Amino acid sequence: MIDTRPLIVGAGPAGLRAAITLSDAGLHPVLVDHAPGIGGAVYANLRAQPNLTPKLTREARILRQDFDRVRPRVDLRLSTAFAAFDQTGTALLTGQAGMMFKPRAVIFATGARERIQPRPGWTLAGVSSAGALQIALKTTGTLPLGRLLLAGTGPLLYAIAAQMVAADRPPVAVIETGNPLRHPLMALRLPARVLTEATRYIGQLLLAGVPILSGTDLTRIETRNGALIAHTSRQGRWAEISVDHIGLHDGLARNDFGISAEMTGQTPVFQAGDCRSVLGRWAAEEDGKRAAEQVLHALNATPGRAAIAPDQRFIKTQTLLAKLFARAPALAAPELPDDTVICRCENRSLGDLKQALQTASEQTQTTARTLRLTERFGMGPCQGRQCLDWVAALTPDTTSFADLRGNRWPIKPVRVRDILDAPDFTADPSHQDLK
Amino acid sequence: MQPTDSYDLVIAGAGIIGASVAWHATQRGLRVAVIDAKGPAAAASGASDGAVSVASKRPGLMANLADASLCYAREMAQHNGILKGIFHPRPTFIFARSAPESAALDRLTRMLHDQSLSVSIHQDGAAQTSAISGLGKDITRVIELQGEAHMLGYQATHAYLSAAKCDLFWPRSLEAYEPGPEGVRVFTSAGEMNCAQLVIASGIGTMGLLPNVPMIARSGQLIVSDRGPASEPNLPGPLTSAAYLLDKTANGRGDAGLPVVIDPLRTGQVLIGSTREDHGTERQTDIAIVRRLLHSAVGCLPRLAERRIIRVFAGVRSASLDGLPIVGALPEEPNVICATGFEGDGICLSALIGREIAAHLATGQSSPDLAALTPGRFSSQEAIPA
Amino acid sequence: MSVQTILWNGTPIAFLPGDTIASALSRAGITEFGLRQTALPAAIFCGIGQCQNCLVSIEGIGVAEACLTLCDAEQSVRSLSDHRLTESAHD
Repeated sequence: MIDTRPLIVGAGPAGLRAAITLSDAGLHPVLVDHAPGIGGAVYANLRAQPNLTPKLTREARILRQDFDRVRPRVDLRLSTAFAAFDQTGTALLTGQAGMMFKPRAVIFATGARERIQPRPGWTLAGVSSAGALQIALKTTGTLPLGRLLLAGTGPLLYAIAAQMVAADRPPVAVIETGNPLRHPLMALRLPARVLTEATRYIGQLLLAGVPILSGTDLTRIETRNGALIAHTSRQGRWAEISVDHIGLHDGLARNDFGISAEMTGQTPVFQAGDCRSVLGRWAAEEDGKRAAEQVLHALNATPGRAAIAPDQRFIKTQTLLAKLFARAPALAAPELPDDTVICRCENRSLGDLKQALQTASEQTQTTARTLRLTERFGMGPCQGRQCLDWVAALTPDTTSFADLRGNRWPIKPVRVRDILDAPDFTADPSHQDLK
Repeated sequence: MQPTDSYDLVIAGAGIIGASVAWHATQRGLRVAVIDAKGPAAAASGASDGAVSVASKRPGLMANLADASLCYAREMAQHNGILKGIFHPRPTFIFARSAPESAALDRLTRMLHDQSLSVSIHQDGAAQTSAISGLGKDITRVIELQGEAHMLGYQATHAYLSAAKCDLFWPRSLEAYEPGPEGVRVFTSAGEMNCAQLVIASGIGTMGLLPNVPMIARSGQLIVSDRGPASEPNLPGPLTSAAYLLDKTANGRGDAGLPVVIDPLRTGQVLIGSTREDHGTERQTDIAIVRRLLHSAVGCLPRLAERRIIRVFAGVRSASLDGLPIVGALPEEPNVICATGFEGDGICLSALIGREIAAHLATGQSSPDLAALTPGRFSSQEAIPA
Repeated sequence: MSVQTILWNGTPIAFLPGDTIASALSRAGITEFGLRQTALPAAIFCGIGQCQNCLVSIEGIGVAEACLTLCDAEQSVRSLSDHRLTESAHD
């Protein structure tokens, strides 16, 4: 018999809630995550040591309890990557608990991508996403040695800064491109729990004396005497800050790389949570439940509702937050030097991109295919997750983002040995059909 | 109505063949426009592994044409030639794992000798004596060839198109044409164009346009690895199973084993290919087939097991029913020339085909070497070789 | 309880339960994990396995993301630009 259990990719709030919902309906889902623990990026501490900061929120505790309850019915495969899905309905998982099987439905709950604007020096060691610092803090309770700086824009920056304060490692400063504190009345329209959380973070930062430099750009990073020097600019005034680590964050974006309609064939496939629409962890959980109900509906296991749109409240909140942090397009291309690296995988610069676009425009427009094949944007191991937003922003509008992306598997790089080692349950008669 | 444009030559298809024709034609002073439904190297030329190979061709005419094209491309890579920095000579390694594969190597040896080709055998022996270390135990014999080369299709296409003084239009597809005494009226998705002569080199795009030229779309899946560790020696050239020769030369591969090619890129990445499937779906790649290819590749070069795969993709080649490319003026329509059906051999043959078509366009004389490729061969049943 | 270590390019580095290779190295003040083939430094960037910037070679596992791989006692971990890497692995 063939293994056809439904597959959920990603064990963050959306994936966990989807697994709970499917299990409660009597199914035995396969839940896969390439991280060694459950919780995704937002609840990376769901299984960490109890003494670690930050403490779990009430919602996280409920999620954990619910998942603990259905745990025996879920085939949880951690340290295992979802590698591929093809039009024959075959899914390939690789890593610690890899396998090939034919899930009769798939839910992608792969979370958001952190958007990080290219800046000179952003490829230096010691410069990471702010999210990476947060994960380290949540999973191990520690941060890298030395002075920390956070820069960019968006609400997550303040959450991370506050968590650093709570861990007794306050950042040297938060450099905020936008000016969110300038609109207190607009902020009051945020839902109470968002506002409470935001106020708490800001309060923690003010109490700890962490300067919030709003309306300020981090324009350049260089190394000097073993330290990172952050060059900032505020209304034409320049300053330098010497630190050891810089966490960058310029917002979140949906993460649907590698997934395309051609790949999914006849199998019902749904997206849930931030990979579908970046609405945060509470919305993600609800969306996970919704996706699971759609799976049940598609499989006729129970009458499910065909809900499509996420709750309007979450959309309103995110729209309001976007307004609060609004500023001119972050990547002011003419201001960046040409040697700024745009594609971190293939080491391709802004100058390379400009030259390609200029050469082409003398005769005819450049195509997305040319930007990929000849210029190598989007062709490295991250598959364009880091550069294509910026390449698309700099490219005439005829080159759409969708054309730039290859949407090809593997979804992330996987080792040949892992592909070959994955046991095949797509046709093996000796294998137990678990559900 | 769009204003009409008039050219000596309109070329439909900005793949490597169309680009080579365009450059060669402008060298002869023709006023040329190239149109393409998508853009340069958008189909097979962009999806190819870039092997310029004579050894993999069918003995006889195809091997001779490939060799002539290889010699000409070598010239164009010299001094300040158009292919300088794009055409890279490199050795080729062809191996056998079984008796049928070894027999294929014997046939290859005879072909290279009998046809006095410019590609020669540098070494023929056991795997241990090969210049490539770490070959798998299944490999019993390796032939190292010298004289072949690597040329990425999209790089050659770009080189030709950027050097050609011609007009480029995309996205613009050829929808129909109407030959007349004054030349050819060309109907495109963006209006009408006029030209003295039309070259149709749009690969599988040719299929709908020339109903009397029977073709099939043949898809192939390719696998791309990461760059690997800095310390790992890059392969000096492609490692090709003799089963691949059997597959390509239509001798029937029988129990020879899965054809596999491991082709090094200059970045340190490797391309692992390639299947031949009789469907034209560019988007379809499947896990089971990729696993079989990888299994075969790791059997040949065990260190590949530690590489990471970053991408799997499919390309579609246009193939003719008799396995020969289709090149020449259409019967009854001397001003419409087609150049298609290369089934992956376009990279190797592009230099020669571009030169010969341009010569034909400029002088009206066509090369006797290409006579067997004429599309007219499909007009009468008896002309189709068995 | 004795401190557990991994071997980073041959040098012992202490780790705590739950540490990934990336978190253990960065706690030890090691931010650069060698050079990538493009000459850019290998280092933690995204922290969640997307960017592929922190690849290292791990004994018994192979090339993997330092940010996703948990530490194991006495495990040897090397940077990909370390030329001593493959000589032992491939003979």
